[in-house]
Amino acid sequence: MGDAKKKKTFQMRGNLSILMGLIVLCIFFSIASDKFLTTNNVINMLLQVANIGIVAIGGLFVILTGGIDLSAGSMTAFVGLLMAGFCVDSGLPVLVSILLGFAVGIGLGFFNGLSVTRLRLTPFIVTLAMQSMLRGLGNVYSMGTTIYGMPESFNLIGGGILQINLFNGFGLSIPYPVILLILLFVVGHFVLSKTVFGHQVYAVGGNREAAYLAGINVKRVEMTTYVIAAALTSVAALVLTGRLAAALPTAAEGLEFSAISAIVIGGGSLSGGKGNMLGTFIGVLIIGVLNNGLNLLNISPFWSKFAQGLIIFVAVLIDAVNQRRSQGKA
Amino acid sequence: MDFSPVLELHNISKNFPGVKALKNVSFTLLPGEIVGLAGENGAGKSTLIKILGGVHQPDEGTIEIYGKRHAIPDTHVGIELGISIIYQELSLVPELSVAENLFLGALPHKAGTIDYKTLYVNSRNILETLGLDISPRAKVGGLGISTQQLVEIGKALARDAKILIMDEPTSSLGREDAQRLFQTMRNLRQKGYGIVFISHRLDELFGVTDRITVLRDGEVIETRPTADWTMDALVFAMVNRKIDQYYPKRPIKIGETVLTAINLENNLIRNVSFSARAGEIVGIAGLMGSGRTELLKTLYGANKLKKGHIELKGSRCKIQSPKTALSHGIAMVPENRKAEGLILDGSVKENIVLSVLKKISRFFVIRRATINKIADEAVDYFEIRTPNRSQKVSRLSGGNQQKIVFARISEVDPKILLLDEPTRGIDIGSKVDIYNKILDFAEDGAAIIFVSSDLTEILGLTDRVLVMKEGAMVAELKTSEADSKIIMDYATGGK
Repeated sequence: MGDAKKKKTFQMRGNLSILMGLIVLCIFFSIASDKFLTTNNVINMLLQVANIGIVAIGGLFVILTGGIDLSAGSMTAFVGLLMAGFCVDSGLPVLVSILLGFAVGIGLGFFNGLSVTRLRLTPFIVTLAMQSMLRGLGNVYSMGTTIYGMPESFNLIGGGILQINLFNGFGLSIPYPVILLILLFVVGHFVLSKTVFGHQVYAVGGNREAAYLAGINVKRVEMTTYVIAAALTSVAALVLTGRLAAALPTAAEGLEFSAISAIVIGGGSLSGGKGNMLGTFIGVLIIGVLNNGLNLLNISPFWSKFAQGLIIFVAVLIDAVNQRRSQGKA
Repeated sequence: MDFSPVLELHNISKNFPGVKALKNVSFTLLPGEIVGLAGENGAGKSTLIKILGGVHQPDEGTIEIYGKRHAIPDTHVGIELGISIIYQELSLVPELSVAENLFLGALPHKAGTIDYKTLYVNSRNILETLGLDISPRAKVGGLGISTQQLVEIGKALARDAKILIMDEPTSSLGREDAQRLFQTMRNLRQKGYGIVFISHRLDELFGVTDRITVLRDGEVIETRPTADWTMDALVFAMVNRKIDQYYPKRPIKIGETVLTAINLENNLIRNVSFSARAGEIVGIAGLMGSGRTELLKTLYGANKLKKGHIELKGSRCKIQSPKTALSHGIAMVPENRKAEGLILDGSVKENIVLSVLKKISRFFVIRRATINKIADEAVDYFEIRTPNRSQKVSRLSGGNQQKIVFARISEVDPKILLLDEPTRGIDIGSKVDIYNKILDFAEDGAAIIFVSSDLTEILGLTDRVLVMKEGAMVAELKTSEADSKIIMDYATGGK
């Protein structure tokens, strides 16, 4: 129906301005550097943002309900250390080590969720505390050292590469993390836009009280978002550890902020109820292109940090101006 | 006293892109007069007020204040010219004293410090004019809502405004509090203030105004002295169609008892017992804060029950949350539709299916086509005026928003319907639509518990009236044997 189409174009329009931003960045860098628009570089760029993207998928669920998860970076490092440690130091089989790591990660998600829903603590504070605790615990567990020497199979998901032969001699080498990233975004998009849970997430973020009175189990929805975030963080831990073939207590510092930046650039609102997977994916790509492009131009990574901040500022500004304009019309 | 007009509008027109909001509106306000402004939502009342307040500029026409032509380019000029607009939302600082609120932004000062002596003297004068017997030192946050409303009017007096424009000041007041406000308005009238009064409650317009002007589709339809209007004529002028039955009545078969509340008690209600039968409309009257809303929320599982229990069709039920309530067929239309009833940033269709997400899903997945179908049928049945089903709810009028709440609730097929002020702040056309839908629910065998501050509405629609006071049920009356005086006597304890 015409109406469904309208809805689509409306949602697209929200994503369209950031998509335009992404395209402009790409055009700029492909003119500035002939290395930018090559298959290898694009795949490399995707590999660089795989972790940010995976964490941002879970972060979006949390942020849509009006919460926030600041513990993702430390949790990535901590879970990674546990997985590697179980395997190397405790001598457990690879699969068991990984599953145990996931179990701990998901348990930590429950802890975050319970603190927010049952103890009614502020998400910002709870997850900030968790961030500090996990960074500390990771150092305690590893005694501040790097854990390495895991078997080949442990590093498969983080370091594996899928070879595709297109036609004689011409082929693509796609790292597993890139495939995983895209797969998880597709699943995330489906859950958020098509399922009961996805609708409930938007309702809770849009108006908690109304959602509760409409019969939605608000606490369970919030709880679930923190668990999803923790599960995805554990995936990021496995990917990172596998790619480096080592687990570092200092790994993934600030990862949560990069993920939150991607969500905000992609149109997500920290007060909840606004944002979508496609926007977040574009947000992740913008961060990736920016870091990668500036790197190719030999510009200091300090500047790329600055540029990332500037883009958040511009994204929020555009959003605020649009919102004010549409309110003025109504 | 000088009887030349304090305010005169000549042929004011205002266009917004695509809408002619005001067409050739002329209007006169004399000193010592209360003029009522009536009209449905979208008739142009708020545009007119915003022009007087300096928020909008007219495209054509002139404004004369005390016989002199003025432009009101912004809100400051409006205040300087002596026009004060009192909106329904209060803009007081609860942590400050009455006096500080009255003179906020213009506190008298001496040598850099606040001159409290002058402040309190001036404040006392204003409180006296208002007929308010409170200390200027009292904290505003500790005052009742109606007193706060009067302090808000006091702010206008403190700025020396002689023209007061009150935009639905009674919408959040109970009947008694409203009467207090009217008394103050009459006092101010006697002192020569000109007042423009806007209300959706027509009986209030008849009670307090000297003249009533009706706006419809941006035009002044008619102005008459209040004594020359009848309720029918006024409604006809507002909606341009004859509403032959303002409170529609249909014979509805009353069935067996479906809800029994026995000795319900918690922090907010005391020992409440009552029952309701299928097809029956039970009204609950009482002042604001008498426990009406709390009772509904307790029945709905949103407030915890300390003592007593609830029986549905004779069997005991524990209702711990709205979710359980809905699963038992109990649904509620909350008092405040914006804060409790709707996801304002959500679309029409998202709101309509909100309570039945699980029911319409298959393996946790909801198809867009399913949502669209449900939404289209509901928009049609509830006559929701919206450009399309994907429209943001916040863009719709109050009446249409409330219809969406009803649409959402009708999806769960309620057996017991709890309605908390379901027609507050809604235009007449939508009100009658909603009354009809409520009767439809009753006809389908639902028991309806109907809370309202509007007694004419309770008397016009219900079969039985329960009166609450201070958390307790103080009377049960057959509607056919009740009138507003009897109900108010019970509600205020006058009996």
